[in-house]
Amino acid sequence: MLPDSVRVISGPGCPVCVTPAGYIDAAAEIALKNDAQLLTFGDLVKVPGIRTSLEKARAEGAEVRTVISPLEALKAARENPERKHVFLAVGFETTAPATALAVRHADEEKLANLTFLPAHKLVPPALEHLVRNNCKVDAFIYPGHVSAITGMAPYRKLAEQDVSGVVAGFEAEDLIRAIFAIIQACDRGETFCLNLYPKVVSEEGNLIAQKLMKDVFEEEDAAWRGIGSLPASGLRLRPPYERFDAWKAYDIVMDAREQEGCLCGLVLTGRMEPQDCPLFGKICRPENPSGACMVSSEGSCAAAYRYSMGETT
Amino acid sequence: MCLGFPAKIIKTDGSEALVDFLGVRTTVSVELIEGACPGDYIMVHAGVAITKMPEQEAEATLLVFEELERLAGEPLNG
Repeated sequence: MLPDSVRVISGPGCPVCVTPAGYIDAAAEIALKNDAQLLTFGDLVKVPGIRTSLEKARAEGAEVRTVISPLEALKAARENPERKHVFLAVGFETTAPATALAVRHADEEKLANLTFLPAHKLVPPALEHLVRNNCKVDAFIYPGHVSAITGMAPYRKLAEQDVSGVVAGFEAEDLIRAIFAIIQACDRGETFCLNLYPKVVSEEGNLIAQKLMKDVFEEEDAAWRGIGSLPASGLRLRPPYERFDAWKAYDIVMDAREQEGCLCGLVLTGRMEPQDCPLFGKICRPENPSGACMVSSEGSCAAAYRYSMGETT
Repeated sequence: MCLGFPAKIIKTDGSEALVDFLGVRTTVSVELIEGACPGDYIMVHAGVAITKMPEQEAEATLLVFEELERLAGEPLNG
């Protein structure tokens, strides 16, 4: 559909894709060793860890329940006070405020049977990492719903470093408009930073959500699947909320190793097209994924597989 | 998990609101937005309203969802 001169690269990954493999193992271990119910977004269930997956853990007896909101985890904990619950808190700035809200409610209600396993990630540090590592794109298409929370400030900062980009929505016409705007702006030869999604994204972002995130979380260095550790790119619970931290409550440490043979990291950083990975479509398929990019419906490889291999589901 | 959807507020009850998305009604938190009122359109993510949307824009987005639903031949909100 697009001319050969325009190349759209997917990266640096969806929230599920960038969650380290060791996180999955840690979650499975908590459930199996401590008889706690895991509450997770559905996309995470099939993601392979290093040793296991939540799906396999479920087959071994772990209770893994899918939810669409951290607030559902609160409800589950309230309804079953005798049972331990752990919410798997992954996601970018779009989801982190919802987790922060659930933590604050859990604190206010003094819930003793709910903890959170935070692996939230922040988008701007990943963009800065790509820029520092010679990611040669003409412009970024910035994520619309992350930007609804953050506002334009992170991108204005990137523009000061000569990095161009546009904030766009998620519908096809939003993306076409974004690509068209980038082509026009590139022709002018100046650095640009445009908000093409003003119906959802304001200049300052969602100030209530920003404040809540800052109250509940503090930044920490965090491991990104396929990318490695990035400074101040993750969120941990601040000391007043430490008792809700499942890492501490269950005394568990994440195995930071990468999965062997998986090249998701190259795909996530735009250095490899999904189809160029030797595992793509052969060993690694949506029904039996080797890497996270093939699991999540938003993953680069799952999308490439769906549209290049004639899959419709 | 990143799919946000626009919804219309039917009624509010303190920190929560009953909303309509393509005919499906669900309850979401409105604690992160100011002054949520019945009739307002909001963008919902992970069970939480993350921003208000202008009515005209929200309806245009809902039309796109309806068209996608028609093309897919199945409800998107199932």
